[in-house]
Amino acid sequence: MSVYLDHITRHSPQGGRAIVDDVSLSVKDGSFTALVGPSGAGKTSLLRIIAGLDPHQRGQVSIDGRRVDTLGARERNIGFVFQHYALFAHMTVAANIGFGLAIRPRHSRPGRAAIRRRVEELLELMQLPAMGARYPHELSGGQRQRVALARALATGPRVLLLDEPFGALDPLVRRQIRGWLHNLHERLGLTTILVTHDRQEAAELADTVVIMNRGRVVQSGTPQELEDNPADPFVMDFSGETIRIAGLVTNGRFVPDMSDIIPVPVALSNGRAEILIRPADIRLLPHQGNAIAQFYQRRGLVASYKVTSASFDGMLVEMPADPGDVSASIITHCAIDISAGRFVRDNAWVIPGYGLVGPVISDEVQFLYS
Amino acid sequence: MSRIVYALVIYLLVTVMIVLPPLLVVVMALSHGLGAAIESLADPDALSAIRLTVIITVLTVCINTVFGVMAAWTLTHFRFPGRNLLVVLVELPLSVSPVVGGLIWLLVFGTQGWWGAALERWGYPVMFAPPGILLATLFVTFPYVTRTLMPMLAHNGRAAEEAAVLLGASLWQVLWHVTLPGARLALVSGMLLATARAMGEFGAVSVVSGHIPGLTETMPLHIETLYNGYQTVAAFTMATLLALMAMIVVLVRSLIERRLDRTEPSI
Amino acid sequence: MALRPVRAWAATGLLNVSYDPTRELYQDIDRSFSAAWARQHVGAPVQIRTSHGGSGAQARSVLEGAPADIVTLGLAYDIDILAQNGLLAPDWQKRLPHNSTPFTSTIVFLVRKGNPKNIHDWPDLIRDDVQVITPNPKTSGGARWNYLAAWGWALRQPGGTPDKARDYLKTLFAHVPVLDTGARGATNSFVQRGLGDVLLAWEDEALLATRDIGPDKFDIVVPPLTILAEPPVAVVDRNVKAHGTAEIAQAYVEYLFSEEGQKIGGKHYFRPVNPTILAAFHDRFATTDTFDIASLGGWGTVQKQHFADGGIFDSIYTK
Repeated sequence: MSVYLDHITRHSPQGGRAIVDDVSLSVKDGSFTALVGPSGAGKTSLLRIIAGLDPHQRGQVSIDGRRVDTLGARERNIGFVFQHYALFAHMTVAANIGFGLAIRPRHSRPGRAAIRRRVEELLELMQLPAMGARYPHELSGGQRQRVALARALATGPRVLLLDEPFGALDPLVRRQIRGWLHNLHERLGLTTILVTHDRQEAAELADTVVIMNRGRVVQSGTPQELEDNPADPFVMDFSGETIRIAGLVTNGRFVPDMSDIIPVPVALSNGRAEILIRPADIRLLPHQGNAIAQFYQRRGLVASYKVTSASFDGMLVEMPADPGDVSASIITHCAIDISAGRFVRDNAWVIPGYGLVGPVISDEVQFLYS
Repeated sequence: MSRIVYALVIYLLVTVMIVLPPLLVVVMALSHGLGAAIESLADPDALSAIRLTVIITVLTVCINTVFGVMAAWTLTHFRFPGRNLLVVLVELPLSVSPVVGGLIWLLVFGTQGWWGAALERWGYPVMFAPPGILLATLFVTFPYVTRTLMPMLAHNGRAAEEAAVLLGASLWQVLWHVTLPGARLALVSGMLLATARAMGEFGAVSVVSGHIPGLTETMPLHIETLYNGYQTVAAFTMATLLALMAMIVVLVRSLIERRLDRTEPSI
Repeated sequence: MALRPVRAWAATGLLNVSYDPTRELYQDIDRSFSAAWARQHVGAPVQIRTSHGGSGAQARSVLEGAPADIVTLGLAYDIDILAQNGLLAPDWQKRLPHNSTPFTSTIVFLVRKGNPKNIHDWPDLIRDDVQVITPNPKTSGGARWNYLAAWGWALRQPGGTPDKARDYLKTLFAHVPVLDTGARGATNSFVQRGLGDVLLAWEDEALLATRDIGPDKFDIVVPPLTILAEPPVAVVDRNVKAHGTAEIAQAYVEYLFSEEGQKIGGKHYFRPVNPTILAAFHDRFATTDTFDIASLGGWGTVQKQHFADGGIFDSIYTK
């Protein structure tokens, strides 16, 4: 089912600033969308508004073309998985999963046997066979999260909302369950919205990533689009590893504060500016300066070097590697080329169209699909 | 070595302060033999005091459990103006002297008070009658369920309740299937605290009772009456019975507390 | 059943709100009165309950609504307060013989067996080696009688003036280690907790302590001059009207003056007002000189002068 948010605004109960500020978003049927951003960006609030757990002051929420914000949370038929699982501690795993079915009014409640079958089926799907009689505190974190997911799926929800579902898991389990969730989505095709502060997680799971900051949507697109065309310095910082190099523009030339970085010509008025660049875009130029580059590691045809100079220490730079063994190599008298980066002044791209700068972003982000 | 000394000191302290006095009560009760003690309990006024105490305690605990759950739920789930004041007010009966707890009802329902004259004209006097004793006991035991439940509800948080709502549960289903079972040990613990206090309350009840033997005397009041009437065996037998009832309540509660510590992990 | 309205039992029962030292007396009276009543009114048994406490506190709870049909308190002043609030007629004390006082008593000294401190008269109480037990006159009726006995004695000494009496009482209360709130509490302090050398007590309370509670442990000393204590009784008009118990309540208070009632009083160490019956108990009541409350100006004056806030008792006890 598709989810459509139209100019949603929510103020904090104490009044004051908007937690969610005029957000519009369209999530297409069967997609896996990730809401990403630093803490306090409003991602979880947005998710809770969709579920009906938090009120909003302006805007509309529609599911499958029908307004749902007039319905209470219990009538929206939305599956929700909480960060800390929110399992019912006093119930067995089976009772947790079957809860949504068992509390239905008599006329629409499935029989006991039917509920039991459904629970078995879900335990099977979650790869938790024979766990039905256990209590939540007897399970590992990863198992609990799968029980929470099974419980959310038991009632056949129209949409699945996941609020930082991996936040409390250790990294290894996290990666495991991530892959497993991906497969599950492929199998069930259920429209899913995931909230996370981890961009790698978002990039790995979601077909669409929505980056939020200060209650607003900053940019959305496929993970690759965001990586390649960040709408502003914030998105660039957030969507991949980014190095910031400060310097001074004088007469059409950007001179970095640090030595052994080659100045870059630029059509910009005199004054302070910054270049933002992905590590992969930094080039090492031998025989041009006084920096020393020491081999660090090799990945396929790319070798990375740790570069040290009088003004910086240990900047990681990638270079095409020689086919031969470079593991002991040290390059002396080199300099660094950052001309593939983007100029920033006053926290905004200053030269639209320069380098790989993407389109100017409006407040209202329309998905390509909608 | 010093550990043993400390332990001995504590043992001595507990023995002298807590174990010996009740033991003396039992000894006094049995000073004329077990038969005399049991016979003293068969006195109609004694039976009436026991019955009144049990009825008042059961009613108090039931009513205050309902109120306490409502108060704890409201105070932990909502932020509203004056909430902090309410939290303080709920605890007031703990710090106010029980005598004051009785006098306030006298001010409201005594014949010199606001409503008393009218109530008496209709034939339902509240003071110096069991309803007054119930009110006084309700007042002094009001905080127990609320105060034991609130930290548990706050600790459990709202996520489980929200999960239940999203699964289609009504408010009542959430309360009955999720909130209360999730805090059941704290709830029972609070109810037992209220039980112990209700059974033993003297000050507040004394003010509103009128001390009419066989009618408005609870066990603690009857003990005083018996003692002042030089009926030593009867007084101490009744005291032993009351202490026994309290001990059972405390025992059950400590068992529950131990379970509370062991299980009930936060999920 | 425990919560049924009080009126339901009040119709067939009777509540006597009494003061502290009368527990044993009224237990007996209640039993014998209900038997007598049942003999005369077949099929209408009556259940009498009596509640006890400090006289002032008991009056207070009747004032606040305790459903008393009869009050039998320690002093007339406590019943006067009820009359002032309209619970009974202002002339209540004239409705029964002897100023509505079925039994009198006096204030005596209870000392340890053999009178080791050699206490015989009021001056002995303020000797350095003597500790006196008496309850608080502000809360206890009995204590007021104790206090007034001492006051009256001091006034009647050669050259006695209110100032000298005040000095005597001030010294006397400096010898009081604990102030219990009621007469029974003071008796317990002296008898069961072993505090003090002498207890100022109702004669009936002292006799009860020596004969029944601690035989061979105490002696009674009757001072040559003491007060005549007159604890009165009355029917609470407003309550008996509401309960429909006027007839039986009246019968109850009249029973106290009957031959049978007077005998029971004597048996429990209260002095019967009926001279014939008093004579029958002459061996237990010592003869001594007494003065009554009227000679001190009556309760209205005495209460204002001595026990009201800022009265003489406050001035001798706080300084």
